[in-house]
Amino acid sequence: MANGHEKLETNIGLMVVLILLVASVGGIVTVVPQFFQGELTTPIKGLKPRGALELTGMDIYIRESCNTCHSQMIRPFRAETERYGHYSVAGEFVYDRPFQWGSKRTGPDLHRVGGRYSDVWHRVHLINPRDVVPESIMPGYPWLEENAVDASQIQRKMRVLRVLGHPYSDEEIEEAPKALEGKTEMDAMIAYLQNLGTSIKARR
Amino acid sequence: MSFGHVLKLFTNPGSGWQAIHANRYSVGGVFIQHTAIFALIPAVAGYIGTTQVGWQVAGGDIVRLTAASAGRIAVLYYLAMLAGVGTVGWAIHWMGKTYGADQPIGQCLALASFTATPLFLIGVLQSYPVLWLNLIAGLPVLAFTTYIFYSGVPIMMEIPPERGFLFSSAMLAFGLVTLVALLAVTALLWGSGYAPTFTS
Amino acid sequence: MAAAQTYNDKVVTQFAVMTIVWAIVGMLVGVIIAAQLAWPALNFDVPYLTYSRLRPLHTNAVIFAFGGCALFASSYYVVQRTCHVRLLSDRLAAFTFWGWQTVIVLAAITLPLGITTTKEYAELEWPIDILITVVWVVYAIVFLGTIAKRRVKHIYVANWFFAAFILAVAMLHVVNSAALPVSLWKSYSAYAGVQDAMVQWWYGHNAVGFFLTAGFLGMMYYFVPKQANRPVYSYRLSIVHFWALTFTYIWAGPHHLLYTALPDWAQSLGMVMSIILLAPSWGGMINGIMTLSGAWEKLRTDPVLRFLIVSVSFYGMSTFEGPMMAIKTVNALSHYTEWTIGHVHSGALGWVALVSFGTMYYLIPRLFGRELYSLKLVEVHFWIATVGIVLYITALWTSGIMQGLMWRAVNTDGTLTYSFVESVLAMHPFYVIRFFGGLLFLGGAILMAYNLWKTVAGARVAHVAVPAPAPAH
Repeated sequence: MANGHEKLETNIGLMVVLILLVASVGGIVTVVPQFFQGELTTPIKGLKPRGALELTGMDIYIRESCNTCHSQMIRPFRAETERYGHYSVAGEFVYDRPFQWGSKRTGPDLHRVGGRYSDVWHRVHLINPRDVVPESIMPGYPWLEENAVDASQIQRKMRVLRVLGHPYSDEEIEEAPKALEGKTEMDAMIAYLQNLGTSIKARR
Repeated sequence: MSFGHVLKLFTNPGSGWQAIHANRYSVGGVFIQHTAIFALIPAVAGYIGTTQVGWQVAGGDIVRLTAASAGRIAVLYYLAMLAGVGTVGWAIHWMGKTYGADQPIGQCLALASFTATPLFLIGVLQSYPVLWLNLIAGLPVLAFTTYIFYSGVPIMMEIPPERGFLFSSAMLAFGLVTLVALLAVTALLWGSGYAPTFTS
Repeated sequence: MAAAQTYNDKVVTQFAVMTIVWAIVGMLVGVIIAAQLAWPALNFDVPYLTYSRLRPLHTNAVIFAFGGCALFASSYYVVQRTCHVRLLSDRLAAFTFWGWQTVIVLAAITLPLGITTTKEYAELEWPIDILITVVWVVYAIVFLGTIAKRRVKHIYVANWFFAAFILAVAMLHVVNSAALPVSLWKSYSAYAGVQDAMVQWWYGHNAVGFFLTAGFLGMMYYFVPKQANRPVYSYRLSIVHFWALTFTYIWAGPHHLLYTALPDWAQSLGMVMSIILLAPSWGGMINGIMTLSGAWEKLRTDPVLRFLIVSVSFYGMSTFEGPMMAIKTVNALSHYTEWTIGHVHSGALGWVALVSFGTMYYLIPRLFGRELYSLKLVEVHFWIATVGIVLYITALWTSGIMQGLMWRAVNTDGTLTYSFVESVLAMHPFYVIRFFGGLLFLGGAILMAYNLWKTVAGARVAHVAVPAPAPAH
């Protein structure tokens, strides 16, 4: 074996090629097939790409890196479904770019937060979480209420998403800036949150 | 039994280890005279603390474990401590030759078991499950344990201090690995029917 | 013609110095966010200082700024000396230095502004991703090109690891960063949902596996035998574990996605390969510890050795803990909890940081042609760092397991025992302890900076002539 390796240790070109080959195998076997598995690429029944306000809200969620503390992935455990609702299904995430599953729950999972709290609750909570949950350690995001939504990018965003496969109609893109008129970032964030996980209605 | 040696170890680790070394414990001797006795302390204290005393999370209701689940866990906990000492003692014996040590397994087990003594003793605090108390007491005791281990290795293994330092550090790595294995096994057991059951 | 006869240590020195600077910056941000978890008032309601925006700044700074500069410095140092030849091109090497520092500064500016993709350890937006790619390609050219023009027949083992690190990271970065831009500072991932999760963690785990592991093993394979003045324990072992590591690490990504909507077959593969990964990882640990164990007489006069031994021990522990946490049943408890963070930091502080510190204590005095200012301070640093790590890990192990148990606790009637916020409240004392652990670790790094500053104050870089290679190489 040492003799075979001798060839590699004296030939950098060969070593480079072999390293690349060896390191590629895992990705090819595990990643590639998932682009072709039906249930992973088909949206769940009733799921539509996000409207202008929800999309804007999603991008604010991304801007503030909410996924740092909040997951969006309910696992199929009794205690988890009891706490958060139906476990998360692959087809619910086909329009999430990038995915927001998160890897840490400093705060609770948000995948099915849609409809759980009122708009007013969210507004107060996002401005100062401790006003509704005294023990919370979440930072406040008061600037969301002060900032008006930037409508200049929305059509561009939807067009780009359409290229990536989200089925927006010309009309939806045309009407998009109107949907953002007079809205604050807070409105957008709440719209996004209230929409989360609502494709599966069963509450258990 | 081994109480005299324990006392000496705490007051003067150097001569304490000399005395333990001279005693030439056998495998059975270590377990019967030392480990089996001292490991009872955390196990029993834990049982009492979780079933009789209970704990509060952030000023909520006092939570306890059911006697049945606590009992199962206490037994497994006791066995885990014995296994832990045994594993570390065996590893000391196995790794010894690399560091120029060639001691009988009894000496190696004695090193492992006596090192764990401060941890066994402070385990009594598990009968009173208050977080800050256990931490404030536990962390310095952990530090002390590490210290007596490092001082014990050269004496018990009969090797020079510098070799002893390296051997101790390698054993520390092994100890950390064993600890992690214990964490994993615990989580596995919790998922396989030995989970704690809470009651208020 | 004199230039051809000396090593290019200028770029090594530049990277080594910035390693220390970014260590302090990155760890300082870490201490700040740790404080914010314990005392949320420290978010100050200022967007640029908010925990959620600062956390990616911390991770990027410690991995890519601190870790990255340490790897650049050591790989450039090691490749020249093991090949007995100057770096392929001074210009290109200088470009990698300035290019990399630009990437870091851009990260420091854009992340607090909220310009982010949220993909972990790949948060930087597309223009910076392009810059990273360019710098990386040049790095590959310089490093591999230097090996190509070597005057020594054999490629030393450390260089295999550096090569694997450079090549794998290139592949991972390019594929995972694929996105369609909307504007200069906003893009959408080319992948969505489950596919994105798979690609992200194929990348994310191997950012750990190749950046933080293979690269630093390269460091270990040179500086440990050098410092111990002993040959590597087993040549055969290094061959086997190198290829096994390169092959196996790539498959481990799905262990970040156990019990999620990722397909079951991918989860199971990820779990199994993660457990198998234990073996090649430990190959490295064994080689390191056994090499070091031959140097026991040097221990009294050499505190740098202490950093290297303990780093390899923590490497062994973390690479054991990882596979354990990849077991589905264990992961069901640990996922999303502080235990994961504890695991990350036992590797990041215990392995990556300590081996980097040991290497910098070796390198920087030599680069400036000086003796270390104070060996005593190195020893103090060692103990402070170790205590910091122990506090950090213990706090997070305890709190993480507690979190997992609290979240899954059900009463005898089947209802949940604890509300989520009760688990948050339970975390508080542990967040405080973790903060102190991190503060200690940062303190140690500041001590190191002071010690190295005093070491180099006033020195000029020594010009080291390239020695003729020994015969029969």
